Amino acid sequence: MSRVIGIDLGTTNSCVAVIDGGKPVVIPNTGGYKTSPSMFAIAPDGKRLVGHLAKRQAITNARNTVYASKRLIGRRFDSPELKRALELFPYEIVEGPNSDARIVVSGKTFSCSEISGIILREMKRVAEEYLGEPVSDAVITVPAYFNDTQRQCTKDAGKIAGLEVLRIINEPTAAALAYGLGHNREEKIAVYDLGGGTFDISILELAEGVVEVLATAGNTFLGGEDFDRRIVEHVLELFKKTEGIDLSDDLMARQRLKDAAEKAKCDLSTLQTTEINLPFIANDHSGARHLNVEITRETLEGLVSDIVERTMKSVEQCVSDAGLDPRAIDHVVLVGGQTRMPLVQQLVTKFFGKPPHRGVNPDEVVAVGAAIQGRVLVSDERDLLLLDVTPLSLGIATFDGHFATLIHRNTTVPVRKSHVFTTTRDNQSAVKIRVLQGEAERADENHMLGEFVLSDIPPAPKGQPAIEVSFDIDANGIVNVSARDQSSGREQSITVRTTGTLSEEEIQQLVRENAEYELPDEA
Amino acid sequence: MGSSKGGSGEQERIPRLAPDLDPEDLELTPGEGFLLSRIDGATSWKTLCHIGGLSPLEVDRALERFEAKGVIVVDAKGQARAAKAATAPAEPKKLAPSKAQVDAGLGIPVDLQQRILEFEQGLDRPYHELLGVERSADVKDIKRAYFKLSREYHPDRYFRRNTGHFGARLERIFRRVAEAYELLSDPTTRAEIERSLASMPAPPGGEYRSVAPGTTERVGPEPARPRGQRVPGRMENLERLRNRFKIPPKMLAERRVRARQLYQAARVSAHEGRYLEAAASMRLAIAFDPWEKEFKSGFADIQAQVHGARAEALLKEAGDATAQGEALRLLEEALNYRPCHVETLKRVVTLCADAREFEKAREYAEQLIEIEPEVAAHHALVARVWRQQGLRAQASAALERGARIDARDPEIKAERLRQHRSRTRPGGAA
Repeated sequence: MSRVIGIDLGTTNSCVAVIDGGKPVVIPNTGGYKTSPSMFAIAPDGKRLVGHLAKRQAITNARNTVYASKRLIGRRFDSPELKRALELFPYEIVEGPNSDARIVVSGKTFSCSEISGIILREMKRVAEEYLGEPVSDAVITVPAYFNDTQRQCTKDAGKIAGLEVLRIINEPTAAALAYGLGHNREEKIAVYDLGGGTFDISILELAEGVVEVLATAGNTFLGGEDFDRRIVEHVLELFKKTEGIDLSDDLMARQRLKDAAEKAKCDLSTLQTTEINLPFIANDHSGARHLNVEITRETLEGLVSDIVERTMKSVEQCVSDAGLDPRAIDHVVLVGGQTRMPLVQQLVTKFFGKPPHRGVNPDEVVAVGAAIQGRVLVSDERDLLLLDVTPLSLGIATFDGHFATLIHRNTTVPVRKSHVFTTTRDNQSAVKIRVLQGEAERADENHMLGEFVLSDIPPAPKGQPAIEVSFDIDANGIVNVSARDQSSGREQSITVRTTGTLSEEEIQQLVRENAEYELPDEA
Repeated sequence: MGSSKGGSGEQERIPRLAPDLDPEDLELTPGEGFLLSRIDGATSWKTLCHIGGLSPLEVDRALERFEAKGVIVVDAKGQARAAKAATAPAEPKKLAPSKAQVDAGLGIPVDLQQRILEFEQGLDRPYHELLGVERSADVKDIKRAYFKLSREYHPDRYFRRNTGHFGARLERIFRRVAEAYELLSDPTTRAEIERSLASMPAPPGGEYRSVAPGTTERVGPEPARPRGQRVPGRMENLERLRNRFKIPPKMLAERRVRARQLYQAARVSAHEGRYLEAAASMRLAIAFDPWEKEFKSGFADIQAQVHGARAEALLKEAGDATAQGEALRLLEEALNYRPCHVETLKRVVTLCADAREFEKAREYAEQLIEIEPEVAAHHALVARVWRQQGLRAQASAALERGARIDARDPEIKAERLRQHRSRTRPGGAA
């Protein structure tokens, strides 16, 4: 039986795990690291670099090094998130043919799926080297708040990497699966996941080998990198004040500062005080300038406390969505490196009235869970079942521009729901069904998945025809929408092939293209 | 029983009058009275939605109410015949899964295939029975039963195995099981389901046991219930209908308040002559509270005014249009707003015929006749379209129909003359 790998495709770091001899194993890369930076670069000599190699040269090659591209995947170029990214990221982002965001590296334009595909390919390679056999099947995780387009783009990335993606599962669910091993009692678990680029909170229930997601909430634009950025901004400000030099437009300086800020942040999880020391950061008429700043844990907490507070707001909402009292939660699981921060642990402990669970490494727990789900799907020992839910509400646009929800978020799949709509004009012969995903009341504020027209409705006064619109989501999360005129029996339907940002031909082309690249081993 | 489409509405359901019904006891609106008079045990629910003066929604609601009050009994198609013949409700032979459906070549053990088929046969059972829990079961029991069934019937159990036709069955089963869990674990919907269960006679104990012999211990203990006549299909339909329009009560109340505010705003706008704005607010009010009749009639009034104004504007524009195609387009659009406007229809018929779009021309002409069947001139118009198309027999038949109404109508006379001329000049379709 072929093995299935579990991949945590993170915003900042990625991790791969497999079930080996009945036990989950997190696979180290050739450098001995269990996680690899989700980074891709093209060196000046044209060589493609992934992971630690890409990160190591990122300072000197800032414009051609891509990081945190997960923040761009499946998003429209004109979305507010993209505007923010354009301001923040040192690499070049351009508009793609489908209004998506594409990244220019060393003069070549890459889609976000392709960048993720390159990273996934690297994880696949790491696993194959460790196992000594080819690997083709994978379960990949995404944040709970990813919409269908973002999930589809991630699936496409898997294809580009030469993987068959058995399932896309939510990161917090995967974390729960990792802890679900050996549990038999009925337990409620809160998963607080503060990763590099995203924040998710999920309330899950484990009972008799079944994992059920009770509620999820979060923010796809909030994470450890925001902490780093706050430190960077703080230090830039200080440097400007003391030295009179503005480094904000100096790419090299920024990148150095970003790395130093991340290190300082990690240090402050265990130390009370640390230093950011960057010699020769700038030059002016009076010679070389050095940056030397002391940061205390208190300073850091002051800089980021509002971010942590914001995560706690989501936590509150999620717990109440689940219809629970914080005290009813049996276990709190922390995921993501940022949860090592004492302030985070304090606030979480205070809210739930109990300290978070330890035992599985917060950087690896998601990949382990993905590997477990992969194993459960293909093996004969099916003692665990994941009841997956829809992450966002699905519905259609009504004629007055409102959003009529047919399947509420957090509904267990597979599911089918239908509702009867009618016409708004006399003798109206056709209705357009616009399929949307999201939580906003106004249709156009939600994400459009697709549209189709039900035509040849027999003439009738407005309000008379009964048009039954049905949503069908199968166990793989594929959405099918059909509309049926009950009087004529005429039916139209679409399978919502979420318009990822690449066509099938493009993907096939990229699969061939990327297979040709021999990526250098991790040093 | 769930067809491959599952869900609600697609099943043929035949309402019939309850045997011991005394119509005198009922308080009905004229519309409901009419509806009741159409129920003959042969006309389906769906058909009833399209006859009579009520909207399908109103029909649904009225029938649902009839059903809840025991005025009518609703059978699934096929069951109606069985009920008429007064046979025993259980038909084990028909319900037992046929051996042909079990396929040893599939990636599911044969005994499991048998269980899937059996369980699927009973999918339309009331939710409690489906989950195999007592009516008094608490949330924990319900959840446990749900998890237990999930482990058995969730499609992921058989991931990547050759499941043949069982794939779709598993999806159907799981959807229904999940629905049962969802509705029974929500106190509001559960109370509603229990109310409807209490208001109707419970099924005889034997019926479902005979559906899946030997499987009851797997499904769980049979709920205790009094013996009585059970009407197949009735409970499920009621629940389906309820689900279809289900909104949590709190949200419902909020929506009602919002609807009322919008309605007030709409009235103010309408009063000040801002009809489009008024219509928009009124639409929203209806969207928030579709059950309030006042909103609907208010909306209809405003819409009539808006449409009237729009139609006038379009007609004027059409009058100014020099190109015939453009004029036709504008007139047809005007018809969307005022579909029964005779003058507009007449002009559209003429323009369509001139553009040699005869099918369309006749369609509009038929509408004219539908609106005013006793006007001879309309028949003359139909005759004219046939003649222009070169179909003489139909043309003269239409003309005759018109002449029977009023032979001296000038349009009829003129058309008779034209027909005569075209006969004497072959190929001379005017």
